[in-house]
Order: sequence, then structure tokens, then C-alpha cells
Amino acid sequence: MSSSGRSAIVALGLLTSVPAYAASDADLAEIRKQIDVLNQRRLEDAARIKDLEDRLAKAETSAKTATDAAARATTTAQAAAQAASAPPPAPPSSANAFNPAISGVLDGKLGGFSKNPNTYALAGFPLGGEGPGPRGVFLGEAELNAQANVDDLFMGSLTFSLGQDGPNTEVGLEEAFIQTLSLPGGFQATAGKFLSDIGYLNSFHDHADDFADRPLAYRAFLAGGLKDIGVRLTWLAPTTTYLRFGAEVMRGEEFPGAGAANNGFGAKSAYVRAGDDIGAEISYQAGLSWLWTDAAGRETGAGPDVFDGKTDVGIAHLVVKWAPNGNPVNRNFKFQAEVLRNHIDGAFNGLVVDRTDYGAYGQLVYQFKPQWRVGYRFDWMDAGNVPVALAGTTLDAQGHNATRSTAMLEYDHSEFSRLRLQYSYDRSRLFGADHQVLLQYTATIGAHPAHSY
Amino acid sequence: MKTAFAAVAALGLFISGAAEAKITILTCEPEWTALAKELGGDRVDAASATTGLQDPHQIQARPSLIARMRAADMVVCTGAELEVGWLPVLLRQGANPKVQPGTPGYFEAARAVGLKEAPQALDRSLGDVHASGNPHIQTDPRNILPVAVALAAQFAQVDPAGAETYKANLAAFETRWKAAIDGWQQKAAALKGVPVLVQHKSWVYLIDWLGMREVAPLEPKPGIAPSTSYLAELLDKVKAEKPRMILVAAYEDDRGSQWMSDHAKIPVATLPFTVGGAKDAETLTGLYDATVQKLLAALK
Repeated sequence: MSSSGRSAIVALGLLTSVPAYAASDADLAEIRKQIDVLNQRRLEDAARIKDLEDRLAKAETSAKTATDAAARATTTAQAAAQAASAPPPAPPSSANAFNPAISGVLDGKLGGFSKNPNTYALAGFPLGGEGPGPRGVFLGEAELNAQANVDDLFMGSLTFSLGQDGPNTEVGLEEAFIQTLSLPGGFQATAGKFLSDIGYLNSFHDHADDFADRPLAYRAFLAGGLKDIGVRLTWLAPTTTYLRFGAEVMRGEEFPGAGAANNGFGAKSAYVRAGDDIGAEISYQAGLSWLWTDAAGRETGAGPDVFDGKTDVGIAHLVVKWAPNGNPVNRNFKFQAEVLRNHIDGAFNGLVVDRTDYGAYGQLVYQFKPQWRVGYRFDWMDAGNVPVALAGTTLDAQGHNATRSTAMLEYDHSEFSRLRLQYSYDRSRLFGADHQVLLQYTATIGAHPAHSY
Repeated sequence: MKTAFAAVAALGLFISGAAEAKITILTCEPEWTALAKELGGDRVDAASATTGLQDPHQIQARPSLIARMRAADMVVCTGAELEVGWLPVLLRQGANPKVQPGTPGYFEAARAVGLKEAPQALDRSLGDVHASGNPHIQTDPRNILPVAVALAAQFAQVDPAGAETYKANLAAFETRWKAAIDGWQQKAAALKGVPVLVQHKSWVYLIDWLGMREVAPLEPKPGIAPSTSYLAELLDKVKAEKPRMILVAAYEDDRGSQWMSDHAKIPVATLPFTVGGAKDAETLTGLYDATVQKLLAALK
């Protein structure tokens, strides 16, 4: 084949197959050129500043002897300041420059259970959420978050969760809220669907937890964690000790509420959080929260059990962290505990019930060297007594206190990936212990995550 | 209820009134606290969110920092994504409209300096790279000058009444600083061309300033700790280049560097990295005095 024939074919190929790329290559080239120009300009600016500064220095030395030199020096100083404080040149315009920060979380697990997880029950408590998960390999929730400032007053955040339920994919709306950026006086308002700020763990997404599953008390009283549609107002006190007050009004669709009772104001909460440093190495956060919900026709379990009435949940939490020199990168230690008090007052399967339950957990996590963490958690539950009419139902723990001991080992290869092995000795059920093993990976892609305390 | 509200309001007034006298500055790193004090003098009250013994990449958004963010009139940080893991949380939870990005109360030092090592490709398989370039600008004292000029200008925006003071302080600082740089450069002349290993890519500006030569970082990828087998491989590779020392920041876990030091028979130079990173680096000038002195000591 002649070389001109070959090049004609190549040219044809280019024309037919990559017009889109050709266009973006041109764009890229243009952008690169502009970047070069900007870099060049920056270098020139730097050189000019340096030159001005040198002249300034000289001028200042001679200023001691000559007043006119001093005058010149002032002029140069002003010029130097002006040149340096000039805003950086604007980047080339592009339609996607305002795209939100997007990040995804991928989570997969491998579960091994000595008892069939399909028959899991937490003695004395109707469960609004899931149990410990299936046997074998399964997916945790995959999350996709997009967030950005809406304008000068609001930021917005949208989080989807994608879960696998048998052969079906379930799309969940994890969060969809706007939040104020610039209210005066330490106030901040949030509206939409959000994770409630009650307790400590509740405001975190599952993938940020130190263990592969939630504490039993969260499983029993909050179906793993409360998120609902509503409005939140917080006030950060102008004190040197961190002190935040918050109140939420929510729709009440979510466990322990249900059915958007009370004309769509089925849940309310109030909380206070305080925290500070103790020296350079220790920091803490403590809080008290209260949640009031109304449930209208709440169905749980396969039965199902139906509950109508009020539930209020009180939570006290304490988190203490330690790191040598306050530098957590190499070694650090975290203690976390929450005590939950759950009071129900209503009709369970049509029968009157009014009782108080307690649940608590405490956990220690120690990062003993970079990338490696170990942890231990203890769970304890105490279900209140049931009236005779409800004996033998889901509410009846028959005097059994569910407990669970969990140990975990974690390897964080980078800030973005994690492998975790966890073993639990679980006595949730009325009879017998369950040995549970979970192997989990969690990976974050996209925008760099910023972590709350 | 009404009286309680009034009491809270009075408390708020009392506290904000007391703080009004000075510009309260929260800096992300101690070097900017030192610089803010040089430029602001008595007009500013600057304190850092981190110390010289803490890794500025990974700070927890502690409650105390949120409270300090709430009280700040101005936030002075390095930027260039150095604080991306924690500053956004503080800014959001601090609920302080005065210091949000885009306002005069928010300052990023890296914007005043041309950054080195802006990555050609953004891919996390390359490690924890910073999209806009290497943010560790304070390891070269020459970078402090343009930051000082920009910071003084922004001080004047936040506190116009002090504009003249800031200008005068800046002029005095520049003169002193240039003389100091000359002094350090003369002292450090012996370091020119010296090949060094670095634990993390924290020292590109320092190495450029003193004309040293970076042979390799110990980390296989930025932010990922080296394994012993990786270090052994690296040792074989760099032997021929005869590195003279290993540069480590005071806050870093130096196990990798110690291993390399033992096997390559070269010293570890633990540098302060920032103000407060060593006992003799408690001031901005002391930072570079100590850095140069420790480098020279390692060269012997």
C-alpha cells in the first residue's frame, strides 16, 4: 500500500471514529495553553514582585540617608502589595465547573453465623430494621453522595443508598437536605431528609462506624438509626467549651414512629452536646438527647406486630479520644458509650402496654500502629416487663437480658479503603448463643471525605 | 421563658463584646499563627488549631475546634487541600458566616505561592495526591514573603482601622526576613547538591531552596506507609546515588526511616516542619534556624 493511501485511511479512521475526542483534545490543548499562559503570567508576576521587593529593600536602606528615597520606597511597597494581592486570573469557563462534590461508598461483607440469621430475634423487642445480615457474601449499602453550595445562603446534600435484596436492587433516599451557611449568631437550620442528630452514632452513616454492625440498642430502639423528613434548628453557643443545642421536628414515618401521625408531625427531638479538650492529648464529647414519636399502625416482623402509640427515647452519650501529642495518625484510642432509655405507651396488637426498656453499649478502639486498629464492644439490653395479656409475644423477653461481645481487627490501607474482620458472641435470642463472623471491605471513591468528630 | 431568652442574649452580647477588642484568628497550622502575630502585632489574637507535632493532613474535627471556629473573626490556612479532611467539617459545624470561603475572613496561604508538583493525572492509585500541588510551602522561607504580603492585605480588609499598622509591620517583617534568608542560605551553603531521602513528599520546597537533591521518598505512594520489603527494594535502588540523610517531619512515624537509617547507615534528620515542631523552633525564625542546623548536623 502506498504511504499516501495508508495516511488517507488513517485520516478517514480519525475522522469517523473520534470526532468527539478530537473536539475535547482541542479543548484540552486550549486549556493547557491557557494554563501555560497563566503559569507564565504567575512567574512573571513573581519575578516582578521579587524585582519590586529587591528595589524596596534597596530603597529602604538608602532611606536612612535620603528622604526622597524613602518616598520612592513607599511607592514601591504599595506597588508590590498591589501586585501580590491581585486576584489570581480566572480559569477558563466550562459548563461543569459547578458540578457538586461527588463521592461514593462501596461496601461488601461476608457473613458466617452459627444460627440461621433468618430466624434472628432480639429478645423482648420488635425490630423495625434488619438483623445481622445473611450468610455468605453480600453487599452492604452502596452510597452515592453529591453536595455543593447552593448559593451564599445554603448548601445542599443528596445521598442515595443502593441495596441488594435478593435478586432485586433497592434504591433508598438516605439524605436529601439543604442547610444554611450564613445565619448569624451561631444558628444553623437544616431542612429535608436527614440523619437525626440524637445520640452519638445516629448522625453517622453506617460506613463510618468502627464496627461492621450497629449496637443492639440502636437496632432495638431506632431500627439501626433514625433518619426522617423534617426541619432542624441548632444553636452553637459562643463559649470556649463546645456547646450545641438542637431541636428537630420530623414527619414520623420512620421507626419507632410510623404513619406520619399527629398530622405529619409524628416525631420531635431535642438535644444538647458539649465537648472540649483536656490537655493536648485528650478530647471528649458528651450529650443528652430526647426523641418523642407517635406511631399510627406501625407494623414490624413477619406477623406482623402492630403498634399504635407513643415512644420516647432518651440517650446519654460520651466519647473520649486520646492520641499522643494529639496526633492520631500513628496511634490513637477511642472510647465510646451510649445508654438508651426507651418508653412505650400505647397498644401492641390491640393490647395496652406501658413500659420502660434500657439498652447500652460501650466500646474501645485502639489504633496501635498506622493502618491497624483493634476494637472491643459490649452490648447489653433490658426489656421491661409485659402485662400478662402480652406474655409470649415479641415484647416478652421472659427475663432474658440480651448481650453481645464483639471484637474487631481493621486494616486501613489508605484513607479511602478498609478491610475489617469482626467476631461477635451474640446472645440476642431467648435461647442459645450465636457465633457471628463478618468480613467487610469499605471503599470511598470520589471527593475526599471530611469526617465529623 | 422571656427572661431565659434575655439571659442568653445578654450572655451572647457579653461574650462577643469582650472579644471585640482584637481580631481573633484561628490558623490551621502554627507557622501561620507566627506570621499573623508578626503582621498583626497587638491587633490580633492568633492561635493554631494544630501543633507542630500533629499531622496537618489528618486532624480530628474536635469539639474544641468547632467552638474556636465559631469565635473566629478570621481563619488562616494553607489550603491546596491540605486540610480537606477536617476543615470543611469545622467550617460547616462552626456556623460562622464571617469565615466561610469567599469572605475576607477566609485566607489560604497556598494561593499566594506557585505550587510545585501539581499532578499530571488525578488518580487515587497514585496515593493521596493534592490536585492543586504540593501544599507544604512553609518549608521554604522564601514562600513566606508572598504569603505575608497577601495576608497583610487581607488583614486590612477585615480590620480597616489597622491598615497602616499592617503595612508598617509588613515592611519591617520583609526587611528582617530577607536578611534572615540570606543568613540561612550562607550557613546552609554546604547542603548544596546533597542527595537526600524523604519519608513523605513534604520537603520539595526546602530541597529546592537549599539546592539539595531528592533521591526518593520512602512512601511507595503519598500517604501510604512503606513495608519493610518495599524499603529493602528501595535501598537497593538508591544505593548508587549515595543519599546522605533521611528527612522526617517531627510528627511522622519514623519507623520506616529508622529501618532505612540502620540499613543504609545514614542519619535521620528529624526536622521541625513547622513552628513548635522542635524545642528550638518556637518562632518563625527559630523554625528555619533549627531546620538548617539539624540538616548541617546530619551532614557531619
